[in-house]
Amino acid sequence: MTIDNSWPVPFILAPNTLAVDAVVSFCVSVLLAVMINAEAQAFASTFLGDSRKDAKDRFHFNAFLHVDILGTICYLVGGFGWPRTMEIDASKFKRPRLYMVITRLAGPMANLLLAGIGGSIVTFMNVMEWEPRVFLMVIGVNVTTAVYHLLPIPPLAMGSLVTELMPPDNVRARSLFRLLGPYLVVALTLMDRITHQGLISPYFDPIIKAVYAYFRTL
Amino acid sequence: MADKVPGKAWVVVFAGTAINLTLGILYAWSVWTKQLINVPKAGQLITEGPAAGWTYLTNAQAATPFSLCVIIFALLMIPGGRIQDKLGPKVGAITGGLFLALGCIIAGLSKSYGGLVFGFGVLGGIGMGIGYAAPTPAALKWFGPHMRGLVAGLVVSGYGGAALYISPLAAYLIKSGGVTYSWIFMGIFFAVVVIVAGSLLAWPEPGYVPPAAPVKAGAAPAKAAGTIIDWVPSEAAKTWQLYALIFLFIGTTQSGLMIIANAAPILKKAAKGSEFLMTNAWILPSFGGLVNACGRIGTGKYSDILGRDNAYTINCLVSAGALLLLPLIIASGNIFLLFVFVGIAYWQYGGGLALMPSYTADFFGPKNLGTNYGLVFLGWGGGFWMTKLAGTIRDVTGSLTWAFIISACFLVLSVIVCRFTKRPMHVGTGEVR
Repeated sequence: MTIDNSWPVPFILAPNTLAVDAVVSFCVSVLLAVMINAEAQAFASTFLGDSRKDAKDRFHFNAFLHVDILGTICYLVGGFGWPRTMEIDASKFKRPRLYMVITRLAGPMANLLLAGIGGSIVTFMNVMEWEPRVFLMVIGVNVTTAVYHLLPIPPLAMGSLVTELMPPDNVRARSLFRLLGPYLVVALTLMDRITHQGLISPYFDPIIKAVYAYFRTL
Repeated sequence: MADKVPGKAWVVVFAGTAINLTLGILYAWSVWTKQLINVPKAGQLITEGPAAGWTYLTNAQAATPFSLCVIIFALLMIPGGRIQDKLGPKVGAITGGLFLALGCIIAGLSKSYGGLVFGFGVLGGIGMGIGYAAPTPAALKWFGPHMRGLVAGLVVSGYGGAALYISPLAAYLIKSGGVTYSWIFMGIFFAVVVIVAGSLLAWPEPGYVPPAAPVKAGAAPAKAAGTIIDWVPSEAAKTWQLYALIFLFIGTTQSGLMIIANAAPILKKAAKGSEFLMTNAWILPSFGGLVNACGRIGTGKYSDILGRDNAYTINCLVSAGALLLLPLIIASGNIFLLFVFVGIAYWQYGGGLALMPSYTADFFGPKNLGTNYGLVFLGWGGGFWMTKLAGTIRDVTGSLTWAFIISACFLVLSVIVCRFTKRPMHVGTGEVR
């Protein structure tokens, strides 16, 4: 199989990519990425001490209930995004700030894991001489999501590191940062797209391409 | 407590099998794509033959609706399980079946690639996800732990068994009426079957206690004793046993896929030398489907008698043996032995798919089985790792021998995990063994 059959990575919805199969594959991959990201956070927080008996927002594995409005807009604009923020009670953790960061980071780690599973499916399909292009999209979207979570703005995973490092007594600033974060990310991505002056993508795209190449060719 | 299972229970089981027989349309995909693939002419209008009015597809395009269908199927299985847990199996099965039927009709009428992506890929995937989750848990609720294996096997055998009849049926319909006709016929046929079979699915009335195994004087107590407490998924996710089940699932899947992926192409090549197999080309795919379906029923049956652990152990150890011998068999190129070994793989792969729902029901109770089994089903996704590793090993060492050995070791490890895994005790209600 040649690389010509696969879609560009990172995949971004644009007039030249608006084919029905590409759009459907992208949407399905986004749902998978969002679900795995959210459930991994649920798993990590449960594992680290914040276990809940009848939580409605965890372990239901229903992608549609994890979808966040701004996170989805960001997927449509920039090819990456985030799930609805999971409620986590950091006071139940033994080391609240560290464990909080670990919990949030579990999301992108799970995206990489899913990309790995996608990679093995692609290998399997190549052995069977089937076309794996939909699974290549799954790998692409998950890698893109994982890499963009390095942006230090909440609700992206690295953003929680910044929030946790802010002075603990300044509650107002932290909640303001958390509240405005998603809008800031969407605004930055939109600027990137509209002005064609790369703000973030020139730094992130090469990383994404390299990680993607690793998963698809191993 | 009744001594015998009511007749209604068996009606539910066979209605479930019928529904899975329609959902298994996934296996017949290649019958349609065979009519449409033509790489040099891709994009051009087909003017003659059964597919007149459609456009030619490339291989990549032909594979896309299928892959989408599989992923959406997996994505919707857990929400589908919740629909069945909340609204009952009738709603789940009929909604799912109607989505699939509508998808087939849309795919047929559109006569286009986009229609196949939307109809078969999206709607079909939604239908399978919602529909697949409904029949098995509904049927299991009627039976005590001693019958679960057989019942789960019978119901899920429909999905594997679909490979047996849908391909010939679709091929016949395409020959007699064309591609569009075959899609529309299938759609209407599925709608009728799921509405009839779906309305026969039912839960037992509240307070129904499934009959226990007949106790003979002096006989050992039933081996497949299950929990009487219904665990909710978030509780189940906190027990290590759930992860052990996922691990067991990875174990059975990886070796099955590994043999199928590597021996099946070799078998195909070897079959070219045999005149009988060339004239009867349908044997190869049907063989896999048949053994797969039999493996589901057979493993289910003997897991009821011997206990799940023993059934799992037998399947895995036989497979491990097969894996260790496989390099020799491939080298010999003996068609009969290859058939036997591929058969073992299909049997144990199908058997795993029948064992795991029963395991989940034994461990976490029947009430939330839909969702709980969805969690365990994640292990199926993990099984693909092995084929990936196998590719790497072949690149490094030049042969698959070590991959087979590692896979066999993984199976033995799974058996050890299986022997050590006992069902969890519910803390909240103070359940004791």
